[in-house]
Amino acid sequence: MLDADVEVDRREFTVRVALQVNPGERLALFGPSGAGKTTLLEAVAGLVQPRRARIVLGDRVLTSTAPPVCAVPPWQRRVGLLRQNPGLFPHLSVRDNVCYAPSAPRPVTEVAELASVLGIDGLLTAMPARLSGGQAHRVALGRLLLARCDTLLLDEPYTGLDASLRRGLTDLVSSLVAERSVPSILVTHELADAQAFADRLAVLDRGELLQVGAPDQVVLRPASRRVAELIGYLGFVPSGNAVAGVHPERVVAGTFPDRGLTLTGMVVACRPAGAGWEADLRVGGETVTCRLLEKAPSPGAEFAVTVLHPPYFGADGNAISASRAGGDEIRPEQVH
Amino acid sequence: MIPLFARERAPLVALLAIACAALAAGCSSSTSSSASSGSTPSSPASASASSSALPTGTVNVAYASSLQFLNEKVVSPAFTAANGYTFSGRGASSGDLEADIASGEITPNVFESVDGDNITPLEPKFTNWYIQYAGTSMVVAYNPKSKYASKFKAIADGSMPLSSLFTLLQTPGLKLGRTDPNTDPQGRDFIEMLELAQTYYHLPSDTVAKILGTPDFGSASSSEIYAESALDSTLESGQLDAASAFVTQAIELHLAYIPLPTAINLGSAADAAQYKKAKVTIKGGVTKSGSPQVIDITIIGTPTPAAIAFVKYTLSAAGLAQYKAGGFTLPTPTIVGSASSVPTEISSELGG
Amino acid sequence: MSAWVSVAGAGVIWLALLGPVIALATNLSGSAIASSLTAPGALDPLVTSLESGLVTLAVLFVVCTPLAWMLARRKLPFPRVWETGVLCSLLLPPLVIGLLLVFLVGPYTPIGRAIGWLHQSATNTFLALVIAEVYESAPYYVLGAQSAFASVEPRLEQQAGLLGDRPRRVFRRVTLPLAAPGLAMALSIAWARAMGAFGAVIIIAYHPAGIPLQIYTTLQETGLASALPYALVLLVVALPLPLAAYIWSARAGRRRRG
Repeated sequence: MLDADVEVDRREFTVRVALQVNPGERLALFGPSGAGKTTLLEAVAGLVQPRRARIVLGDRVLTSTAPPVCAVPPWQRRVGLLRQNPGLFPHLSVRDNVCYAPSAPRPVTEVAELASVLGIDGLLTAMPARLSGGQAHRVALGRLLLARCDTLLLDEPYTGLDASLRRGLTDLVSSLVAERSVPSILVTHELADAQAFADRLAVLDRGELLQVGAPDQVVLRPASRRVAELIGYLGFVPSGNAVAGVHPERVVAGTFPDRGLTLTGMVVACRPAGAGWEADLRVGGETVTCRLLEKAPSPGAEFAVTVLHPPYFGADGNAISASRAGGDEIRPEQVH
Repeated sequence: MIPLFARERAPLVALLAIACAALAAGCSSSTSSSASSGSTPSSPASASASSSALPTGTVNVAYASSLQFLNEKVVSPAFTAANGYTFSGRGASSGDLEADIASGEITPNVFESVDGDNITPLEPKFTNWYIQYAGTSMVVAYNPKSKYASKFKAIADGSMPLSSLFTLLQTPGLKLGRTDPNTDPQGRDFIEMLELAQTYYHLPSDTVAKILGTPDFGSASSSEIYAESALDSTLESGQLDAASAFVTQAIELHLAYIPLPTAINLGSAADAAQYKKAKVTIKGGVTKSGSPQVIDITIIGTPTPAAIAFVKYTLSAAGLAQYKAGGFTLPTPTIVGSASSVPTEISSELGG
Repeated sequence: MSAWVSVAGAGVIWLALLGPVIALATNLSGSAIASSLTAPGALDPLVTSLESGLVTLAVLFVVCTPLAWMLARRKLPFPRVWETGVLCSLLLPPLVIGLLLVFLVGPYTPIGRAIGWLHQSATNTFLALVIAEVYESAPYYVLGAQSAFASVEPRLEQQAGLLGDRPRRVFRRVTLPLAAPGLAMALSIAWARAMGAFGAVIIIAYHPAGIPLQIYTTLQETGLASALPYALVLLVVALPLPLAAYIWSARAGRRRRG
């Protein structure tokens, strides 16, 4: 298990995070750019000096600022870090890159096996400069795996790769992590990647962990308005003595009072989005964006939608239960 | 607001400003110098200030290194003030200069050499006369902070016999410096002086070899040998105990020195026959013999007015007085070679 | 059309740079070359130059590479001070370096005396020649090597560390191979400076004579015609190393850039 409790000073704020990841568990660390996600991974890898920290991996203490003070150097931590730039050594062939780690086994069979699992067996004699983005990532992954790391940290590794490649790599990493039973953390600012990969999702903003939980829980029941904003809730509509969070993809056309909060408002704009439509609705002084299956009436018309079981937030921004919010029946049209 | 002075452009602007200033300075200095030398000679009747009547032109003088200080710091400004011509000089060992002139590397108007042997090879193509007018002599310069300084001083002021100098110079660990006999006449002169001393003081026959550290006197492979420019500075910086020098060099550089008797110091024309007995064989099997250190002057190629004026000035009472002040001896100026080729202005200076 | 113009323009500049070399080629006659180079002891300066040059390169590589690495990785406090120091030694004219070396390693200086206890001397000896060449070429090597190390991405070194290599192994397996082409170029420039070193050499190491000093004395002794062949020898002998470094560096770069 990876147990990290760190405080790292950055220029504008301090990254203060405490989390545990079980062996074989996949944690996604999600947050906007500059939230401190990379800093956390670098602290675990031993590449930055935390102000205060206690990092334990398995039964080894990697970093401790409290006595007994301990700071294991990066080359002894057995922490695997895969970054956005795969960092292949340009002067070594793919095979030499993959077998780089001193602890990496040399037996040809094991290397060949891993290479075929990763789909790079035809590339072993090539030089890194000739590889495509996806191939380079797979080689870097193989390099980490052969190095027998006790934990796998992935820092936005799929940026710039197309969707199918991301899916493929995500599945690959997931299966390998499960097979080796190592704790792993994926840092990403793409929610879809986080959800595809993770057993648990952690939301980080300005150095603070805002919420940790199962991905669907975090998305459907964000703990605060800020989490909701980060996750993709675009509209916040006053409802009773609370505010309801509206996620564009949790809206259906029509009124279904038993399925959530109904809103009636004026269509401001409607445009195609993906295989459906996106409409901006003016409701109670707020503009709400909705993803709909069919085209909304033209701008200016009145339109009613239902937000399926939205989260509610009190005046302090924290989530409150629907009942305390005054239920779903209140029509915010009263608050024009 | 004005983009030129935006922050990120500041270094570029500064660079441009410096470049412009340098250009302006260059232009203004060249215009001012051309203004001073650009005045046309006007007829005596219309001349008001003396400077506007002075002729213009430059004399290029190649001189032996030992004349550097005198020429650059004393003669040149006085000559220009008196005559108006500008002086452009280059100093090197007389042997180098002769080789450079012969090969066409340099084309001076005037050549001042130590020892006429450096002028005779240039005859008759470049000149066929030279005038001996001043003389210098060998001394042994020493470092006043050397651990042998007290002994050197005693020899210099006479309380120890001069012959003991040559025994002292053999002391292992005493750092002696001299120049390359193959390229610098002073290098040869020093060896010849030692040979003369060995004979004069009836010293053991291996004295010179021991002082030089080698039986092959003409060899350049000795750790005592320094480039001419290096020798004085190394002595001055205190890293040598003693070095060869001309008396004039020692006076100019304020070096402590031990004067030597005329029988061995190559400074007296009267002892020329004696000096000739000392010989050094240098590279190529050439044997050079000792000769009095006389300074010779000649004009190379067709005499220009500036060149004639310079030689005339050097041989004038004022010019010779500057040499005397520098420590040179002044024998009677003598023409060697074809006297009829000497420009009349110069020979009149001598005759007068 | 514009491609031709730029090639022609570059050609003019290149020819201008090569002016002295062209003059050398046109002013040499085969007989002059033959007679100068077959004279007894004529090739001794060549051997001296080669030996001292190689010793100089070895000294530079061993002594200056760590400094260059620390400058590149910003491991030194007040980096500007350190860099200014290197620049100062670069800016000193070689003649001045020679004059000042006398104050540093002359026989009556502390260092000179220490060398004297070892029965060596740093004036007019092979040691002096190496010292002069090292001082003339060191700043060029330091700056070149610093640039070579700076071109190696620190993240690659980090990754190597995370994969389990201690810092010295990382240096050997990652930093040095990646910096090698740049280091080779820096060494060749230092080699060129060392082979052509004259200003400092003539002051503290008039003897033994390397090729530059030999050209100087031959010029004074016997004139231009017999001195120029040595210049040709210098070119021929000194050229292979930088040329090889250039070729290797280009090839390595091509392989790594794909």
